[in-house]
Amino acid sequence: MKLKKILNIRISERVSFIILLVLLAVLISLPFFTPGQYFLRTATNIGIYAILALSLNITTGYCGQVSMGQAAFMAVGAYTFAILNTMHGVGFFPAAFVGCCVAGVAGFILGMPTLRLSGAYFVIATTGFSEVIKVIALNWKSMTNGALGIKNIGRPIVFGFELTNANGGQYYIMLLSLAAVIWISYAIKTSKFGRALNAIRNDELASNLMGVNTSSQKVLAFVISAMLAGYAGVLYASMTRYIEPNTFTTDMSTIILCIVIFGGMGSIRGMIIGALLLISFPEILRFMATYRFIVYGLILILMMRFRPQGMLGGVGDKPYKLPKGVKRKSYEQGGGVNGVT
Amino acid sequence: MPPRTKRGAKLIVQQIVNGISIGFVYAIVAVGYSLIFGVLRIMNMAYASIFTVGAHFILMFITAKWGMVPAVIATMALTGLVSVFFDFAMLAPLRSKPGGTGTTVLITAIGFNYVLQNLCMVIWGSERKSFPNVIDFGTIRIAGFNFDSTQFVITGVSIILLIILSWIIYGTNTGLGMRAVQQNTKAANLMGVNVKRTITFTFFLSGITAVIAAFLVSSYYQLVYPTMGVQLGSKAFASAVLGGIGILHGSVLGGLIVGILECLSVYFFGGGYREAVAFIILLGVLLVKPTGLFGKKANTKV
Repeated sequence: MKLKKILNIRISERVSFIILLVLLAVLISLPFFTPGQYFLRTATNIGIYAILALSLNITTGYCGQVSMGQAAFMAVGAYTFAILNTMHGVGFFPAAFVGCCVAGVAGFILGMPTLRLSGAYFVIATTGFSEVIKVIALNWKSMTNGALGIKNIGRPIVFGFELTNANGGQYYIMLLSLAAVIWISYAIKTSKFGRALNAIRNDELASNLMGVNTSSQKVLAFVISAMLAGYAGVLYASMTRYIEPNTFTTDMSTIILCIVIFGGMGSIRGMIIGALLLISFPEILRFMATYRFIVYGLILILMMRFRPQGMLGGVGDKPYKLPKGVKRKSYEQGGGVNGVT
Repeated sequence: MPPRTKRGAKLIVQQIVNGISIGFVYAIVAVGYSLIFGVLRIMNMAYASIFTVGAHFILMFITAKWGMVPAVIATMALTGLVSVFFDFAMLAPLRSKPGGTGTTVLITAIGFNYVLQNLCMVIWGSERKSFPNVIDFGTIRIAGFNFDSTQFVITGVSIILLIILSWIIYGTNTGLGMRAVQQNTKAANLMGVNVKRTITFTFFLSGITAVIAAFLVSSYYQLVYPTMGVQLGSKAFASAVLGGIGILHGSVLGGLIVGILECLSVYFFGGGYREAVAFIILLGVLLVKPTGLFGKKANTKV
């Protein structure tokens, strides 16, 4: 297959380093030659979705548990941040920290009962959780202001300098956060914890027998995922400056899932490329905007049918070093590719 | 909590009756989930949208002045075909791959659910469309309580449907085939059960069940809109899990419990938290007894 050949090209390290440097330079200098604020806002939006996809990637990609509650954790983080910021005058960074923690706690409460179970229960439980969060946001009027939402959410202020969309500050804070989240994802992936998650995804029973405490590892992965999603919610709230219960819908969760599936479960650069393509395509192809959600659904179906490892899944990963004389099974052998069956 | 008065007691009875009738609708949808889970051991996440598609088809035919009965029958055929198409075009190719009942099937179903829901939005518009209440025969007064006749019709139709479904599963050869496939697909195949046809039939049957539920729900609330399946689908799923998924009488009881508790919560805590009740029940069940009320202890982890 031609497509497979193109996707499986392994670039030499020096070339990829140069490409990375050029890309970094382009990303950093982007606010200086943008065609307009709208462009920069879209770029920030793409970055936030990339963070969300990376957060879901920890549960779905590394650990193999499909979650539809990412938007709900985003809502928890965003609301906590917004309430602290607008009602109690807490600054951006401490409020963002608290927002992350509350989202993490929510993840713990949801993860404890449901992650002992498999697949579909977890999907429904997370969908239900989104519904519960929405109901709370609508009804707890003294805190969340109900259906009216929270207005005038503060922007981050660094040394008395307000970071707005116009001066590119929000773009930079997104870029920094994205870099941090990429680093966290990479650190998890290469750690013992990451290998345990990978084992759980491939065969939960076997990994349990090998001494991995599967439940606690899954819950931990889910909590980290929820915290990162909560942080993305904080960024989103400070970017749009206005949130209401219908901001964080199941549509959003589906888009995030779609990015993860499209980019390739477990791949880090796949998430960024996936977010770039899937979030920018309705902006570029305006006539497609009505059908965008149908396209997202079709992507989920078609990817599962023809390329379950995602567009970039299993491509950038360096193969695990085997002892001398041990032959490697090729990816095509066996059932699912990259353990996704 | 409202004061304990005669009027309060009356309201509670009223809410319980409301709960029973809406609970039967949850029960039907929960049975739809259970049917497919029973045979294929997969959760049909696309079921909520198949329900929505059914409601839109009925509205389309009724608006085209087909009359109620032909509209429902035509919708049954069409929606059944959509359900079969889903299995035939998307799930069957995955089944032929090794290990095709895990994450891939789940995500495919989520994708199809989403495609259907948004197709409804594109074709019929996202606004709430009014649905004629064709099963309303006025208010019935029994022992000082006013009952809506719609609720009686819903309860009656649901009971008849559930009896027919039990008869199909426990009284016919096709049902025997379904139960055989449920226990052991390979052995059933060797014993002469046409597994493919049984699976297709199950999907068609679940499509028909969705249509009847859609008809009852749209008549009750007199509204049809593309996202109507989302909440109902997850509530019905919660009911199915509560009763033990894959077990028909369990699903029915689960649906009734969810329906009654939901309506009672409206009485005690106000309407705002209604939508959250089913999920709190679901989380509680998963925490205490994941196999549900009637679930047997499975050898494999659920």
